[in-house]
Amino acid sequence: MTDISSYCSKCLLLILLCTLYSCENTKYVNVEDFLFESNLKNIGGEKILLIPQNGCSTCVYRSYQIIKNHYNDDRIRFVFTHYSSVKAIKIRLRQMGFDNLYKVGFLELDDALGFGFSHMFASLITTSDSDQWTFITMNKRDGSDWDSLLMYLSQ
Amino acid sequence: MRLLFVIILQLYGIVHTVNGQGSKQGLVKVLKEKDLRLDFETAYPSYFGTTIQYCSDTDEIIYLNQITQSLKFFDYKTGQFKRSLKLRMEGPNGVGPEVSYVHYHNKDSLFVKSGKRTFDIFLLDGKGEVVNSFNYGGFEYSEYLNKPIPYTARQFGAMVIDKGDIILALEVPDNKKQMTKAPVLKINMRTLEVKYFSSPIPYQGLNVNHIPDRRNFEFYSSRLTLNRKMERLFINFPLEKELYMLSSDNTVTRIGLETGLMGDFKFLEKDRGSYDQGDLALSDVIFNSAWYYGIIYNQYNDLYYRIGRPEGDSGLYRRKKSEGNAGKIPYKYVISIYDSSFKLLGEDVFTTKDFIVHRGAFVAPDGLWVLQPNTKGEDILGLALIGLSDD
Repeated sequence: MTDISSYCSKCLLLILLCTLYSCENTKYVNVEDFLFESNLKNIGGEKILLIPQNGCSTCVYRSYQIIKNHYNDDRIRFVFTHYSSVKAIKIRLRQMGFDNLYKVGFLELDDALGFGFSHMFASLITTSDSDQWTFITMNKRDGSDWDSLLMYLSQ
Repeated sequence: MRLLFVIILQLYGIVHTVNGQGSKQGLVKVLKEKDLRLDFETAYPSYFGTTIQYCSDTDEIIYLNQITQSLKFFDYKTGQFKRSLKLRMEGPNGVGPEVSYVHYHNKDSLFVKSGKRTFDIFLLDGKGEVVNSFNYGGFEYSEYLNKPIPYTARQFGAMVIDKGDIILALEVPDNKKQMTKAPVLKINMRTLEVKYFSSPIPYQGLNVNHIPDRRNFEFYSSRLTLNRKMERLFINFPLEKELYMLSSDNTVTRIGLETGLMGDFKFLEKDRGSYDQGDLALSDVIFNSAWYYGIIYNQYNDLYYRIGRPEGDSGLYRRKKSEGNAGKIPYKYVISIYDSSFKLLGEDVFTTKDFIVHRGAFVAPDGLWVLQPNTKGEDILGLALIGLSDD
């Protein structure tokens, strides 16, 4: 009995810690301001991947892999920030076969920092009906945040 | 004669390293600007930069468009776009899918480094047709347990052609086991023999585990420059203040270079594996350690340019980081100009608001040209000429 009680306590503690961690890691962005600054149309889709083009190279590589494999998935859209050239990104996307860029936005670095996004790591925004969308920074050491996104997109 | 030259160089090195906190700051300026007119499929390079080089036999500038995998040629004097050469990925003239570096030797000899499938360099003629190819390694990690993996830098200084040899500057290994040979590799184009240099072996006094990991390639990319007249090869390692001079008889000389602006290197306090990716102590070292990009020899004026990233302000960085504004701190560069005896002629600090050296730099008859920030419009690639002011 004591063992079960101890086990339950540990589980509860773990859940509490996980909840605290996810709360700490989750931030909010004002929907209207974000859509205006990124020039992204509010056309639905549950996730928005914010990609700092000049940020961590692994994040950029993973982001382009997701674009390559899931560009036409209605559940996700893409916003670039911390870029040197909008033209370069558009040429690259065209080279990848994506001429229609209706689901791509561009957010100036200053605005991105103002919203609390990282200039180094990708962020994943989860949309909702609220006027504040939540986002997380994709910088987990084990890459589990990217794995979760890929799992979500593969379902 | 060679001995005398080496002694003079060493004396200069010692004297200037010991006494040099000189007042040569402010003597390096932007002397001139030039605009290259980009075509519809060419844009400002990515963070990693690209190859941009002066073609002395045609008086053109060559620019590697990595997105469309094509070479763009511009008139050196006017900056007008002249022509494009598409690099083929597959087939008998294919160079692979990921060209990362081009070395223009002359209008009939272009060396193209492709790194997707294997370590290959292709020699192309002026039409982009493959004349020869040189393989210098496979991608099996087991091949490199006791020698450097032949990764090379981008932008400039990764490759020189010396008589019948291709010489490559490789990344410094991130562990001591692979540091049994110098990160310099020679490919004999006639015999196809691939050989590592035995020295110099860098970072001897450092705990390499206290350097951020290899994704931060800035700490590992070595770069070469060749003084053809003196038949000397110079190699720059990011975390070495001294420069290495390699003579044709394989002797290696360390040369101390005066600078009063670079500050010090920073290292991690623990092994890099114990830091999380977003750890402040890790990013502080990544953003604020000094390191040297490379050395470029100017054969037209017999000058050397050493480009470095000076030590940053950790206090400012940590404060900005806590405010979420660390991304607003501009990168700084130190450009130091030395004469043929490595006497400091002038140096100064610039920021990415002035120009962005790590995206592209090359020497032409006028001097050292570097990329400006992308502020002149998406169809213009701005270049700044860096040199000594007359003041």
